[in-house]
Amino acid sequence: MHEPRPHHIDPRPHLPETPQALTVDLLGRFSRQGISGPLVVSGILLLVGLVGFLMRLGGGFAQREVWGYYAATFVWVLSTAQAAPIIAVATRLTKGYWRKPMIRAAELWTVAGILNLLLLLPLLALIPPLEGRRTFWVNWQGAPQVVVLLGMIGLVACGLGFLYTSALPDLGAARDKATGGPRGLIAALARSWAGTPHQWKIMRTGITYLGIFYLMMLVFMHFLVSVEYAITLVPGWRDPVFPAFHAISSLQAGLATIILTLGLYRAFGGYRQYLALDQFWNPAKLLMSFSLLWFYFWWSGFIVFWYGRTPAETGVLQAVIFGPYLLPFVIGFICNFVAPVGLLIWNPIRTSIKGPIFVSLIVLVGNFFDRLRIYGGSFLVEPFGHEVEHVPPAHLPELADFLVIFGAVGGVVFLYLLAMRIFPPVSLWELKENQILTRARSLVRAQVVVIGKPE
Amino acid sequence: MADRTLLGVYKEPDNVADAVSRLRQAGFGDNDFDVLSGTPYPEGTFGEQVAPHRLFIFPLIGAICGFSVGLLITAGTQLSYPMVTGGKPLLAIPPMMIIMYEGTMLGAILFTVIGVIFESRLPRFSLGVYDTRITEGYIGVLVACPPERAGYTEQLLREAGAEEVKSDQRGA
Repeated sequence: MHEPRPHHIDPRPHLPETPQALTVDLLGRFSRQGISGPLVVSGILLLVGLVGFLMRLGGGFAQREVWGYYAATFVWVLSTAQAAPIIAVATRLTKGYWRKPMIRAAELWTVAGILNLLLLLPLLALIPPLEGRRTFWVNWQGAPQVVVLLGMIGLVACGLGFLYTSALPDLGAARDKATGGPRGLIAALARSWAGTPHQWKIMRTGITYLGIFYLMMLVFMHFLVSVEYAITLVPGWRDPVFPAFHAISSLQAGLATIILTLGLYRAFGGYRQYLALDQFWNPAKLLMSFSLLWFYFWWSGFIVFWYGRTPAETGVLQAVIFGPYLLPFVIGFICNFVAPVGLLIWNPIRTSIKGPIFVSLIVLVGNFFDRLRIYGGSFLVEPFGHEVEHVPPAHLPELADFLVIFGAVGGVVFLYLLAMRIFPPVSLWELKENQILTRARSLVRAQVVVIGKPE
Repeated sequence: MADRTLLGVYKEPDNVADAVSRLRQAGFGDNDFDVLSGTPYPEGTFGEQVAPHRLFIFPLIGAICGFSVGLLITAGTQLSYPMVTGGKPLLAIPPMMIIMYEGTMLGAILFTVIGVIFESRLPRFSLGVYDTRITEGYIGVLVACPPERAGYTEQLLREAGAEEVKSDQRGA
């Protein structure tokens, strides 16, 4: 007797059986993808965000607390869209076979960095002078601005290089066979890609290098942003765990971004047969692990301040947890730890498609509120002195803040959709590799899949 | 001197391996022919030799350059304009490390992207002899040969099972 399967959905995608059928199917979908509607809607949102951006800019930089929502939005994009490509890097390095249909969806999020680089520019003016506050920049005026800006440029350049290198074979395929999209641009980007063994080798090595560099730069950026825009702005905040918490919670949100993106690919993108249970169940396991790590890292930092109880430490807790931003903290805590763990611990939810998508949505909302309590609180207090003297009431969001938040979401989606018109949104070469390296075999009375892993 | 290029187009990988063997037996060197594929077959699938690449040199040089610039800027400025504060050492190592790390990463990233483009021979715009069926799963064997051996090479490619043999001098 067969044991009943733990789920009723076939875990593996049903893909066309020959490379020719796969190429025709995927490039056909790429050529006729109907994304004009979402492109227009997200473009309008981007324009709305631009209005909010100009309104916020018009208010000047004298009152740092009004920029709290703006800063939270910038860090939210850094923590979600810009962290999503890490899933492509990690699953490729660990040779996770289930990654293949979903990897391009993750890589395409690197384009969100272009918008976030622009969002960063006004924030550079909000780093206060170095005198009279804790900073490791000694007397180097302007150093934090230059280092943060160069770090962001490096992250964006690395991401775009990673996407381009990984998509080269598919650009070559689109040059040869696609009938839609900006064909001139695609041909220019594909250049003389012909698929020689040497080119394949360079491409593989290149994406390994650039993927690792992207991970190193993303963690570095989280370190810089969390130090320059949070820790050093709150007197008395001495917490070496916080940058690590920042990076870990970003990986959690990046994973949630990918799962949600895959849900949209499946529901509206026409890629239902390419994205099966495997592409949701496996990331859901990781999402649960990262949700536990979220708590572990947050707790490790929190406990020092909670039991320390010096005036400086209680001041920090008031500024970023228990003070005016208590509600965002509670929402973040529930959405980033309690709800994901409480839901994903159940097999029927974790071993499903809709369950991880729903949990991902919760995590993304939670991540925004978590960033809001950190940066809203940090921008609220005076950065000078040895401890927080006074925590003012929370700055309530204004029209400009709402416009910036919606505009940022619209902007990253707009860039993603534009990128989908140039780069095939499902990696053709990864799936072709899957075809030649995967075979169904009988094992006594069971059917198993044998996966070849060269190298 | 090789001035003709032939492309044999194959449907089956086994035939490609056969073509590579025949080319070797006919005296062609590893640099005289190449395999074109839209599918990433594992290295050596067809018996071809893949020349070692030098991509690792690019990020290494970039990282060294970036690190040096970071070191030069940080140590250079502090040594050129010494400001001893509270009797502390002149060189502030922790912030220097941040800038040197960033310089190293920026150099490595930039040079890696340049390396990928140049090592893949991508600056070339022209594909030369090519068949778009390669994208759909066909495999091409590209051979460079002297004009006097073109006929023999074409026959050799066809005997290995090529569905079509293309040349860069069709009208010649």
